[in-house]
Amino acid sequence: MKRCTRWASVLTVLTLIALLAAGVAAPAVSAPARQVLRLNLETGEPPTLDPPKIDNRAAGTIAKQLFEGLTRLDKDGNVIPGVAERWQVSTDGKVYTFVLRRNARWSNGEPVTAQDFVYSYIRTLGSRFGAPLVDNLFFIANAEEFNKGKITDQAQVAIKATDDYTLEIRLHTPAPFFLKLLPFFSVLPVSQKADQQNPRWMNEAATFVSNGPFRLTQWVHEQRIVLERNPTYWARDRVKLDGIEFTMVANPSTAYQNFQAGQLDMTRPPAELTGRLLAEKKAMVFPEARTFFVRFNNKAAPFTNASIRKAFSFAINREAIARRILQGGQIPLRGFIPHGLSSGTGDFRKQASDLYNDNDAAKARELLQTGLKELGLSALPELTMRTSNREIFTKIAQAVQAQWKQTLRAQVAIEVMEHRAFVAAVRAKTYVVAPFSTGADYDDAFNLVTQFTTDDFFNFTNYSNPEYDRLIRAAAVETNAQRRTQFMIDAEKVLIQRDMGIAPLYTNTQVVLQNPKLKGVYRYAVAEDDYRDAFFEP
Amino acid sequence: MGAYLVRRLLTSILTLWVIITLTFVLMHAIPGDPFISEARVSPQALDNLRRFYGLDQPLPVQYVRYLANLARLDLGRSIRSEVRNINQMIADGLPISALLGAEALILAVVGGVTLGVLAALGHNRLLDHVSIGLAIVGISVPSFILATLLITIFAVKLGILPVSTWGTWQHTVMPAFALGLAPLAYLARLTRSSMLEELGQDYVKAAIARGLSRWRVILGHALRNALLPVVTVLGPITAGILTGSFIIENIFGIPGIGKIFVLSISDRDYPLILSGAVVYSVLLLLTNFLVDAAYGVIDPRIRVLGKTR
Repeated sequence: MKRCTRWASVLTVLTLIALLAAGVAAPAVSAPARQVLRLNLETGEPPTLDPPKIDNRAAGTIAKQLFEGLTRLDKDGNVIPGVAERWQVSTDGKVYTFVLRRNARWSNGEPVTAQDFVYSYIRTLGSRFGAPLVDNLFFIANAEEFNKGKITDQAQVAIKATDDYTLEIRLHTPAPFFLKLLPFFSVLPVSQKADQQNPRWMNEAATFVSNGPFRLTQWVHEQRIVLERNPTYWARDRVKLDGIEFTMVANPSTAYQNFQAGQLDMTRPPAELTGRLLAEKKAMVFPEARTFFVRFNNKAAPFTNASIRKAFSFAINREAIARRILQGGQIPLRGFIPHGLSSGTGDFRKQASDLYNDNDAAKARELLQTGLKELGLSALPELTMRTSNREIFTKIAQAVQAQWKQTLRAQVAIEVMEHRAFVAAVRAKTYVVAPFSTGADYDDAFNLVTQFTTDDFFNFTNYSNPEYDRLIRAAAVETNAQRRTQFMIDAEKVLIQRDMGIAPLYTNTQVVLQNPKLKGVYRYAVAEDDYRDAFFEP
Repeated sequence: MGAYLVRRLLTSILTLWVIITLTFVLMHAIPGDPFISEARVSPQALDNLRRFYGLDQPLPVQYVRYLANLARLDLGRSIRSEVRNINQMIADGLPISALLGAEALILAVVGGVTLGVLAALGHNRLLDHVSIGLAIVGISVPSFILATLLITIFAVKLGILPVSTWGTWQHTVMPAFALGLAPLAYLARLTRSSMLEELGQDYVKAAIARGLSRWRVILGHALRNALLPVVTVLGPITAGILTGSFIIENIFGIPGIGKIFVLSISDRDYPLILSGAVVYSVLLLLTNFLVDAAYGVIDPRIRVLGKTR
């Protein structure tokens, strides 16, 4: 037994040495002669590559390289022409007329027509189709009614091809972000002809038809996906990569080792190494338009009281959570809308600025006493915080639990649940307080603010303030961009400054390890990466 | 013999049915469903998805439907993949997992028995210490640590093996070793002790006294008897390798069935969870049957075939 223990300790030391050695080794970099970008799909085999059926970013990133929507985003996130060469917006902001380029082709050589877009959107809206992010099309007049089966005549959905290369889309309310929504994976087009000839065209590389910078040439299930430059793409001359290869390694440590061994050009480092790699400037960090926050159930005591909610929010030290605990470059957030998300007239966060000071123990204690008095309580009851078993959530839960205990003497127990069970509990509103996150699908703050209106299906916080509802309704129909921004800024003030309906924590980030020779990758706080202009320096 | 086989088959089917039913009840008892996520998916879209996958039907209907399909050997459609049905996923993944499992099992049995016999023969000498030292390493190092260590040394540092994924024989070396080392160590220790016990028996001494060659006695008599406990544990060891492959396939990014089934649980991919239970149960029932049959071959005193002793 003694011998056994000695062996075990020797081995433990050896293992640690090996792991440390692995960590400090410089990445072996070898740019292949052919320009092939080698990436990994952490989430494994994508369930589908049929754009409207996709519900996750990994598959969405592949679809983005394979397909092209009416518009694209440039490297700064501005709208540029995609399949649509130019467009006109009516003065009431509701009617969009797109003129499609005549040299846009599907990978089978057929032209991309306005009818393909009509077909694609009607297909997505079909109630039996099961498109998870179908809501992104609900800005189109009658689209939601058609999806719900209230309208059965598809001609009533306000999207029509006036000729082969002219597409007209009418919205029910103006949506200034509509052009930015069009490159999103869930609204990318499919070929009508290919889909009608073979409804299972998307399942194998041999039958796959797409219209983007790359085409699918190999799909070995659970192993790899290979894309090649699409010879029929209208801007094929500007595509510098010969191809993109995706492997499917779900384990982040293995993916990191692949990167170290020079077998991947880009990956996300494992959580335990993130802080160090960032400090050593070996990894890069990019903001992601996703807010991590603490949900208070506004209908569960003691969080029915705004003073108590504020006390809990002011007691949190966001800087410490980001810097010392998560170490992934997260940006402390003192408002609801994350950094990097547009208001329609600029960066929302910069325009709205910070809405409170946190880590303010004195103010937090004072507010706690006020709140307790208002509730007629002498002390805080014991509370239970439900959380997901995903590492990021348990870390957040433990951090705020400790800070609340220290500052407010609050006794908060943590109940860790399996992730989906946790999300189900939050959706069912069977929680008192819980960490959560919410991210934008397209680059406009409006995408996130609706979820705290009283009747929104996504309002799992039970937050309700008629003033907030009024401001969001006003923003929804406002055609003047400045006024619209102001409505949303005012609404956020009601939600956070006045009511503290939730306690925002930080803007999330993406930490990336990248082959230093790889250039021209476009990353966005909202959308998926774009590799159309990527290349390797010699 | 025929009657025994039929009885064995019937009890196996019954066992399988119990497993399926329990899995069905348990997986639906876990809160959450396949489409629940943090994303802003509307109740309408959720309803559409549930209808699309037939999850809007009452549970008894889903249960009966699954059993009926299973009787036709149709495992249904995975929610995780729009692209392939489950039969196809298993057809793609099973040969890979089977190859990996077989390599690990052969490594464990051949290596373990050899090491155990050598240790017993060189009892308390260098060979014994080396063998047992190796065995202790194998038992005390968890497979995922071993896997990381192997990757670091052989793939990253030395660059002689690929880090991960699948395709050539080089891809199988590290995973098979990581998967097979623990059972190898266990078998070595087991073989050593049962071999030592047999070597001290009177019949061995008598055989040697009768002038039979030492190797003939060791391999023909002692080893044969010493292997009996080894065969007994082959069933559990195969089970261990099958379930161990869950972790190893994940670490090495191997497209086997272990990886698929592990993900199926967190994904709440109901049809795939059930199929995982079915496939692994069939494999284990089969292994147990083979182990029982092997008893009869190795030890004529044991007659599982129902004859009176």
